[in-house]
Amino acid sequence: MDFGLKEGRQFPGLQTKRGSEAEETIAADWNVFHLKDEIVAVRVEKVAAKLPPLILDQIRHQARHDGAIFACGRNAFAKLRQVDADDLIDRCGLDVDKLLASIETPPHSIIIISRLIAGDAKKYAADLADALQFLLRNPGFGYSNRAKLDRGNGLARADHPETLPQHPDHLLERHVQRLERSDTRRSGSFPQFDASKGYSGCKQHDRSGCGRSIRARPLAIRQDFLRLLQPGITWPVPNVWGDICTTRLAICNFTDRQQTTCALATSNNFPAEFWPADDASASRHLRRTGRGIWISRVEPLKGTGLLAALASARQADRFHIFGPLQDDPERMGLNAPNIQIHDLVSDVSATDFTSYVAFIFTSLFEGMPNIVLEMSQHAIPMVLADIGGLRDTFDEDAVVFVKHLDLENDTARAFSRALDQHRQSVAAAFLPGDP
Amino acid sequence: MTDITVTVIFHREGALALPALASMRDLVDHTRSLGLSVEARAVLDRPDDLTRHIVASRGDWLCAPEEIEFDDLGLSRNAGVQAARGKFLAFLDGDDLWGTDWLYHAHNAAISKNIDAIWHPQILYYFCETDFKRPPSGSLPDTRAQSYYLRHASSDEERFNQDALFLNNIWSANVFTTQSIHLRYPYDCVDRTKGFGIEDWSWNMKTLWEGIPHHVVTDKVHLIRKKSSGSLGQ
Repeated sequence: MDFGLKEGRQFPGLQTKRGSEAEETIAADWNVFHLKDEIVAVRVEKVAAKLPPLILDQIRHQARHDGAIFACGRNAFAKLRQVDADDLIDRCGLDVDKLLASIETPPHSIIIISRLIAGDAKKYAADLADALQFLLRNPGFGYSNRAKLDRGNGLARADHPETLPQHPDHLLERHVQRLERSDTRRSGSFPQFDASKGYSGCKQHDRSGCGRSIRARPLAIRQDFLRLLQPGITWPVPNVWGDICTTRLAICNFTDRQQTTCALATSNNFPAEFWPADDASASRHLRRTGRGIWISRVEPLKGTGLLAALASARQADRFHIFGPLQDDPERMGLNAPNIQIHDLVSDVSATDFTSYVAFIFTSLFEGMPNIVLEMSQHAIPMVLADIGGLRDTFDEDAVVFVKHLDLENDTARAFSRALDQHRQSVAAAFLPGDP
Repeated sequence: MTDITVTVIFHREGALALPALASMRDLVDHTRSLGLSVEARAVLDRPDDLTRHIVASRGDWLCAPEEIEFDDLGLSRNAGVQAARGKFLAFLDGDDLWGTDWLYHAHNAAISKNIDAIWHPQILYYFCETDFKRPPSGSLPDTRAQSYYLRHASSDEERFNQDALFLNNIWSANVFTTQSIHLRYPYDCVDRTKGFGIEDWSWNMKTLWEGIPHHVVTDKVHLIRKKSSGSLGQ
């Protein structure tokens, strides 16, 4: 492994993962260790049992109807990978028992989120997260592993949600992260945890010290789970989750983003209710510090002046710039204390941006910028300069467009308003009583 | 009473309906040749012109193809259940292929167990047309080959983990079981207004949790065209 691992060499009989992908591997049959400066995960490839000749004969017989059956090679099809359907460790690296057991206590709310409509659902889930965090600002709705449990109504209470403790090394979060990454690499596929992973907004790694436990937030799960929460269906870890019926359930519709409502379950089994925050706490929430991300070549044509003005106007926020520097940052006005310049992101699709509240694209001239397309795969709001073909690619209800105005400061103010407006409108969409 | 009604569901498969119909014909002819009575049906749910034309011209051996306007996988299957006259029902998707003796052996397995159960082939062969771009090295498939085998498990196997169904589908939709089970447990519709629904996954959950065992028929295979959608082959 000293020679060739980094270059992508295949090791016969072994499966390998590197870097963050390796770090997030928790399935029991992987060995995770440090190799030089890198984390590596290795496991012995499963030796598949030989397929019975009867099976192979049936396949050969059908190949006369469709040549694609032998697309992998007429002499090679017998040696293809074999996977047990119920072995999710083998299928997708998911240890079901560990995963379910890792949710140690009932979340205060479960959000049932629709599946399908690839891409959009993640964005939708992220919006929900934003809205619910906004709505649940009320003291008493935060939830943490250290909070006092109010058994009377099955909810956990924390008086200071902002100071919720972090949870170390949470398995579900790591899975969510892992799936997020694998999904972004495989367009068209849509693992079942999209909603929760998009929603969870969880931090990149616990060691980053900037996130909260997923248990500190409502849990978003696939709508299929709803059936499993009905009476008569045994939750797989009843002793762990306790009485699931005391958990708040919200079933979220996905008809139209503008009309999206958080339809609250009203049956006795699923009492659900969300309280809107009062104006003061809503304002506090909107004013809270956020981290925006900006990725591009760092040069004036990409709107660095505009970004500098925006950073100056929103001093409580931080702006992280990723990209190759074309000039001295100071000369481009990027020396404000709330601007941090980082190196180029080597793989946008595999990088975790969930701790950012928005992706900001300020470029002055573009055709169809790849970075916007790549960033659209991540579940964070996007505030985009209204240029090039972006408007033909994204709906207005999916991103916020900002037109370049004559004066840079005016445009910066428009960007700033867009950042506020997006968060407010998303939250308002889920207020009880809305259509 | 007819022993088996086998129903293929078409939507907008186009030319892919050709191999599916040919494979289904093999299946039906072979099963009939072994003495079972088989009713072969097709349900076309909002088909495109090409699919309709192919089924009309190559499916004249089918019993009255039924055209419906549900645009819904679950409701299409339910329509097939209602129209069927067989004691046992088998469903096929209109772009797949099936081992020739699937129906005969599934029927034998179901009769021999003499209990309500749902039957699946032991092996699914997911074949991927894009593998033409990834040629093998001799008898070894390319390491990037997308085709693979998925092995179904019986729900009564010791190693079977029912909880896996919470997180992923573990049985395909092309099942074999009695009409009475289908009537008791119809498929849910795919609720597009909610953007949700994987009818076979939900149905597998519902039936398993109601105590209906899912079994495999040993040494039988379905050949599933790998596509980006579909709950099992992801």
